[in-house]
Amino acid sequence: MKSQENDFYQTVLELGHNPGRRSVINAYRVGIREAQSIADKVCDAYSTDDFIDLKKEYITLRRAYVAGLSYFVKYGVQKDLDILMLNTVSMIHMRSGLIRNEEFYKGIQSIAESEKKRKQEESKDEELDTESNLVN
Amino acid sequence: MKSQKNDFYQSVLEMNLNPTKRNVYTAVDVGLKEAQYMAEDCYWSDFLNPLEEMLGQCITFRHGIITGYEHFVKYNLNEDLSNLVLNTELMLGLKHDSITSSRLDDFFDRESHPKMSSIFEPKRAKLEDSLFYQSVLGLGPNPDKNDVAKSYLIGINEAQCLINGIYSAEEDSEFRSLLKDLINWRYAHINGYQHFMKYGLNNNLGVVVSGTKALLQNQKKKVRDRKFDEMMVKKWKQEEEDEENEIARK
Repeated sequence: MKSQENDFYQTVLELGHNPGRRSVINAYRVGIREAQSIADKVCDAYSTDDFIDLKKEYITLRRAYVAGLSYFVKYGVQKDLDILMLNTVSMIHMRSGLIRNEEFYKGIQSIAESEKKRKQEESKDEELDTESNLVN
Repeated sequence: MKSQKNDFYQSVLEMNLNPTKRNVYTAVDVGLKEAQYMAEDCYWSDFLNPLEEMLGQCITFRHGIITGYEHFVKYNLNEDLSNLVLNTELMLGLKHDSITSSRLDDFFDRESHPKMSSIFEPKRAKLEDSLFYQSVLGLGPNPDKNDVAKSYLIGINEAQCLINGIYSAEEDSEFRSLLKDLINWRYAHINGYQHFMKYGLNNNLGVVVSGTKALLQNQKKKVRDRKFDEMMVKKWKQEEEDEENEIARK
């Protein structure tokens, strides 16, 4: 799915002071599309760095929702948008948590491996030293 | 029970751009089954790894909700689906806490009593003690509104008893037992979800237990802190007494 960054925020800004039902529902649909785009990207993210931009996108999505809240309440779509936001942020939160855990364990594993290698090399050096001492 | 991974997401993808009411309800049914399978797997799991896998499955479930959002909104199903996945996630969290705390107990038991049972010996919560679960079981496949409402009231009463129990608990063993009761409660709720959903009752049921996990943890911490303070005061008093006795002896 093509990314539609901040379209929802732009659409809400363009609503003006007294938008009609059609404009508000249109903005609401744009919001759904943007949340869908974020959800797709969350599933494609494989490192914690990927989540930095996604979190920013989510904040803009939420900002747009707050900016247009009075109109969304007026036309009865506020609760649906609220649930959509909750689902989106839960996805981001859970997946970034899982990936952070994976990265943490991988990091620990690589530290342990390099430590093991270092110790092996040290013991080899010691062996060589004792051998050369014996020869001398 | 066999896990049906990501069936809900697949069925959402298979809905075309303009699905009929039947298509949408079929996808929701698939979602319900998937959550119920997950709840069952979670309930009987004694290991932490499968719970993490299930958490990944919940992420895909939420992806399914967001992908088919407009269709679910059209038939007023989005809140029910969202609460369903939230319930499942909360059950996973409770189970995670239950496994880790019982492993710690087993570990300390084993340290002091080496002949005690193995660390991985499963500790089952008693489902037969849960009136709510029994009432959900008794509903059968096609219950009438009256039976569902009765079960709903039993669920509300049991949740209120649980909350009262959390406020009055004083011992770690009580908190552990309450944690297992909370798992049973959520398991029962997920099992009867389609019936509560049919009569618009599941969201109220979800609300009644919302925040219980945090409440349990806070209360446990409060009790532990108080006990620690009492212990420290006792220790200081003893030290003072010892000092006075020492001075008197001199």
